Amino acid sequence: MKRTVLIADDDVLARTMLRDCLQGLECIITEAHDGEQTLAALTADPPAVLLLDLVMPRLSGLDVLRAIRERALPTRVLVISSMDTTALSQHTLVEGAHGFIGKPFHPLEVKAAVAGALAAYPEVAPP
Amino acid sequence: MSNYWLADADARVLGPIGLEVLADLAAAGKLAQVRAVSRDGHSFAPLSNFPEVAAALGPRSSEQLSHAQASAVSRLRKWLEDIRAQPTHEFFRVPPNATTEAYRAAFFTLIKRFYPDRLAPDATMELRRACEDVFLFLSMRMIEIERLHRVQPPPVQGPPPIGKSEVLSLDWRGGSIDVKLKVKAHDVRFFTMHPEANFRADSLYVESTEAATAGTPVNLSVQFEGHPSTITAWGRVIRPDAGTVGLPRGFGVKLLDLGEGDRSFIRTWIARASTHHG
Repeated sequence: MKRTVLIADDDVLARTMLRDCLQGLECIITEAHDGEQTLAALTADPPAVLLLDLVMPRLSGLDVLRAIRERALPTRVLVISSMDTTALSQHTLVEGAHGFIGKPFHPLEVKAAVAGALAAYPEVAPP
Repeated sequence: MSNYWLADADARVLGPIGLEVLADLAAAGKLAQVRAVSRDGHSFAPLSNFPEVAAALGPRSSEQLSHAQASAVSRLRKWLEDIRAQPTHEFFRVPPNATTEAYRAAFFTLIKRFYPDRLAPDATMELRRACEDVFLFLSMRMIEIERLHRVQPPPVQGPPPIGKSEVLSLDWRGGSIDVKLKVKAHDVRFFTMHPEANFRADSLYVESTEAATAGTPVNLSVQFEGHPSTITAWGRVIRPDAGTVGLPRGFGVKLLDLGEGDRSFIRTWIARASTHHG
């Protein structure tokens, strides 16, 4: 069964490039363009992996991260942000992210990180 | 304690973060456009209502800056000394038998922290040199891995190059040249084909039979396939080539006002193209 990867970024170009990075991976890709839409998508059907921008309209990436932790969702979160300082990347990891990739990203690092996250996501038997 | 949300001019929100994280972001030049602040993530007020946030966003004293940079140099030098003695897979954090692609992914993640253009304009020479030394060391180790793994080229993934990037128009306007380029998704020739006039050197190479002398101003307009907006930049002719051996005729243009956002976009575009070429 294919797993879902949700790309949450308000920049359409970033979403397109991230989608390109995932070519060749066995996954279904969905998108969200702000924090609230991301949260709604997570609530409706938690994806295996979330590629999460930190700075978004309506609700920030850190707010989304906190909601995932509070709801104990199994989604593995990879933060992708240009706000790549040591202090903030460590903060996101403390808040529950599984990885932090700075922008500009290289397609290989994104693909490798998502492949690793997909592999680590718990197997769920189909109903 | 994490308790501030920041909003920029486009109402994009970052938070909650504490003052320490916020000051760290500001020192790295990442928070240039804070317009409003909130303590609960819902009710925002102008930045001026939060003097403690404004202070954290403000410039650090020269003493603080100097101390922070000296500490960074010490940390970098110590780390470089440590990793020189380690096998590459250890500090790339990959298994010893990792594939070339896994090494490359780890390399790109690691190396970008040391790009010279990521340093603040006021970075000291010592900090620049320390970053350059780490950058060179990591690059040399990656080249060594590539050489060791060069048994057969990795399989090409994704669609093959479709079409060729092209010069859409080239018009003289007084003493300057207006050039319009169209860059195809997987053909980044203008940014990479010339050994000297390439994007790494803040330049690009325009294929043309037009004679252009060094110093001629160039107004560039670059369209990217599948991307709605156009990047514009200004530069000057630096290599009025009649055609280096093996290259088409053309001239190099040094880019003089390319914004960091556009630079970042082009770098990512080139990186994406490189994965399609193996």
